[in-house]
Amino acid sequence: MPTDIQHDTRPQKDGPSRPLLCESCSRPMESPLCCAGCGALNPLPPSMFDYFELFGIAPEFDIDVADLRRRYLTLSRSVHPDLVAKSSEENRRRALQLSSGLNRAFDTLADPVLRAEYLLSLAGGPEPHQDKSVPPELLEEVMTLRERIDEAVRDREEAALADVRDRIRQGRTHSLDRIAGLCRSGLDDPATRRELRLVLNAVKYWNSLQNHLPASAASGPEHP
Amino acid sequence: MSPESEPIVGIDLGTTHSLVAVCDETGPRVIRDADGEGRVPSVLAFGPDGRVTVGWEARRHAEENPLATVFSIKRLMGRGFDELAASGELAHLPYPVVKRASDTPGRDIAAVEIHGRLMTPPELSAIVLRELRDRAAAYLGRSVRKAVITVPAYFDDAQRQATRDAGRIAGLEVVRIINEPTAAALAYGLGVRQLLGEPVRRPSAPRTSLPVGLSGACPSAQTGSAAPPADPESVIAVYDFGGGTFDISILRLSDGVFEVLSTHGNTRLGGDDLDREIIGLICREVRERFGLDIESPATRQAVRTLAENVKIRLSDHSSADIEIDLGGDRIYRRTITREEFEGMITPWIDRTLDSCRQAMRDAGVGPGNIRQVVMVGGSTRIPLVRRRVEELFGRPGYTALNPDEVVAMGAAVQAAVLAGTRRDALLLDVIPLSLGIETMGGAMGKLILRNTRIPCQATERFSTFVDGQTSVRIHVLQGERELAADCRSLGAFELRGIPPMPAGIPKILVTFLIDENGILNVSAIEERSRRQAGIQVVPAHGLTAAEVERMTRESLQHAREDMTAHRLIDLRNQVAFDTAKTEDMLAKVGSRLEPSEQEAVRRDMEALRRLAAQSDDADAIFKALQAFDRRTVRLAELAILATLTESGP
Repeated sequence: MPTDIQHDTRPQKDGPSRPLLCESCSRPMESPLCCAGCGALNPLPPSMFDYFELFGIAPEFDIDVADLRRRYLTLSRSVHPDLVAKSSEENRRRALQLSSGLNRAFDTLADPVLRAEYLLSLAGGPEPHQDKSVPPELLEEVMTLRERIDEAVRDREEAALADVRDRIRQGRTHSLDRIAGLCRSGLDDPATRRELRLVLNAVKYWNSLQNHLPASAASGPEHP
Repeated sequence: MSPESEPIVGIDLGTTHSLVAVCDETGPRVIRDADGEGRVPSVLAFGPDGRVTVGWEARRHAEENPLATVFSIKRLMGRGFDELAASGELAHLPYPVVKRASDTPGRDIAAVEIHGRLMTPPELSAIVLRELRDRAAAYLGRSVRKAVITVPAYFDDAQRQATRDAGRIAGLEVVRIINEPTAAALAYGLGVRQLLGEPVRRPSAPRTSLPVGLSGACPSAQTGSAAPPADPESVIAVYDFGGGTFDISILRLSDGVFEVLSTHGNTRLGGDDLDREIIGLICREVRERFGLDIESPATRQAVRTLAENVKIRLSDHSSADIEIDLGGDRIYRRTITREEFEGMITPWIDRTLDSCRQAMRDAGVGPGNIRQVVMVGGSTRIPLVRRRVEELFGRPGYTALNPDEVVAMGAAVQAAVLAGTRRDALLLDVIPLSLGIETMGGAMGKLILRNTRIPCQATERFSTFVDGQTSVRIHVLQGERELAADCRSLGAFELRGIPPMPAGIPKILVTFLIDENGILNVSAIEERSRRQAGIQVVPAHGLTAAEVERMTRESLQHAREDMTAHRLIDLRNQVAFDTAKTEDMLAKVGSRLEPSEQEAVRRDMEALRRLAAQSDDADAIFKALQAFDRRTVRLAELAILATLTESGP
């Protein structure tokens, strides 16, 4: 039976030297996915570049998500397999590879928690499997809240459910603020990175609590 | 469609009805029959001679021939017999479903038994697909070999594979499987652009002789349901409640890009289930009043049709009357009110609303963020459905598009994108269910989470567990539950040929790649030895590549047999005609032939008649007929001569 399973999301550091030139028309490429000039798809796998590079933006926590989405849609129009369905086998293979890389990069950067996780990984970790600790008082609170959800659901107590939901939102928001603060302060210091690891682990507990809420109680826009 | 490019048609392969549509520069259009009907009932009727009828004709025969009339095939697609039996699904079907013997242990294939012949759900669906293909070919005036086929968004990998297999068996290259609500959004979204006043070329005239309002997706012909969105970027929901399945998808539409944010649903919840509530009521009351069980397949089929009609009537009327003659002066009479019906179906509607809430949560939006709720599928005609959807989303559903046709039209638009004839629409879809592998202790280790954008790729690193281990077994799962046993098994495979090394040393990278069809491809490589394994995950309830191949051949064979049947009839008619004519000529001018030749003609004539009556070998009959025609050339000449002489001066 297999053991020792872990995600390997670390980008390779020794990418090609910049600026990257299009192999078809030799113009410099804005995104290493495809050439904006001639539309040629890059034969290099997207895993050779970090996610920020793919979008041509600076590797920072504070990014403009609306701008990121615009870039994502523009790039999708160039690399999505649908739009090269009629071209060569090789081009279609490239499109599949590039668009799966692009999708993953977008999903990661568009979500603040995943973005922070990714920045931590770029800065050298610790990775989730290397340190699974959480603030000690958190575990107890999570257990209590979980019980309160189950009770409220059982007894159909809408008001109690709303209370728990608000507490979960509050706890999660607090963690998210902390994550943002740590990322902004820079991740060169190993102590900062360890603390970030701790808060990122905590968010997972808040998320799982939120998923434990019945859908009817959890409705309401998180981030409209 | 430019003449040099091969047409790709869009097919909505539905539980109760199927449709085919094409899209050219003027827009998508559903292909209709002479009566203007686009829907083909997904019903097959098998005659005792093996002949199959499809569609309305088959539906009409359902009551006379309940054991050999197959419907709701979609509910069987990609599912094993054990699973179907456990779900209670089979109790609702009058035709027999059995477990097909398989040479490979552990595989469980369900098949329908018709006149002693076993047919798998993909083979049966293929017959419907072939009907649609032929309809499209007749309309386009050229052969059709490529199609985009839609599936419920919540279809799992095995169900998608089964749909693809059906296409292949029907002789179609399935260039893309797309999700039904996404297809609907595509048709809706392009309509929105028209309403926003952007220049979109409109059809100058419909190609069929139909009223314009019937043939297009053009919402400008609508009778004002809801106001169009004011800005080009908006979040919409597609509530797709069909005959057998329910889907909810939340999408963001921006400038021709259709981005699915989340999807949820139930592949075993549809109009069929609402019919079954009425069927259950009738059966219960008949038992109470008359002490009778409705058991005969013909009566059950009649009740099924009745229940469907009651449901449809209750959408427009406040009550429906039922009358069933049970024989022997026993007549069951009953009035069902809409209120009563709504009481029966409320639990089902509640389940669709739970899915809607889950989808909104996954998309990170609330009802207030959703600009439009597009209603798709025949079951959205039910007033209770519309009311409850309106309550949940705080706005009336958008019902201006024909809920039966919008999916096929969206599929045709996507077909045009893939054919390269239009580039103004791009679908960015997600996978509906998480994918992962069984890890130590029987847990589900998720590699790719639900609602992840596709295409996507994830790699996991594995190693061996004992020293010198040369293979690892990987069990691929799909689902949201924590335990492997509660998830759907997509199959297991082994990576063999790992060089013997101490435990934990080999580096095995297993990559899950979900392609643009939402179908999983798995590859594995052992990094130290660069040993690569080509792996095909064969779903436990699906067909192997070899089986699909064989069924494709067989279906061609059957097509040929069908043709042979026609040809035999034609040839026998020809034999009857030619021999009668020869008989006539022999009577008139036979005496002018040598007696030996007269004898030979008579002998050959009898032989030909015998052959035509006894043999099914069309080729042999054809050859004998040709030989006979040559044999009678002299006789025919004499007959013509005689005719000329008679009519001459």
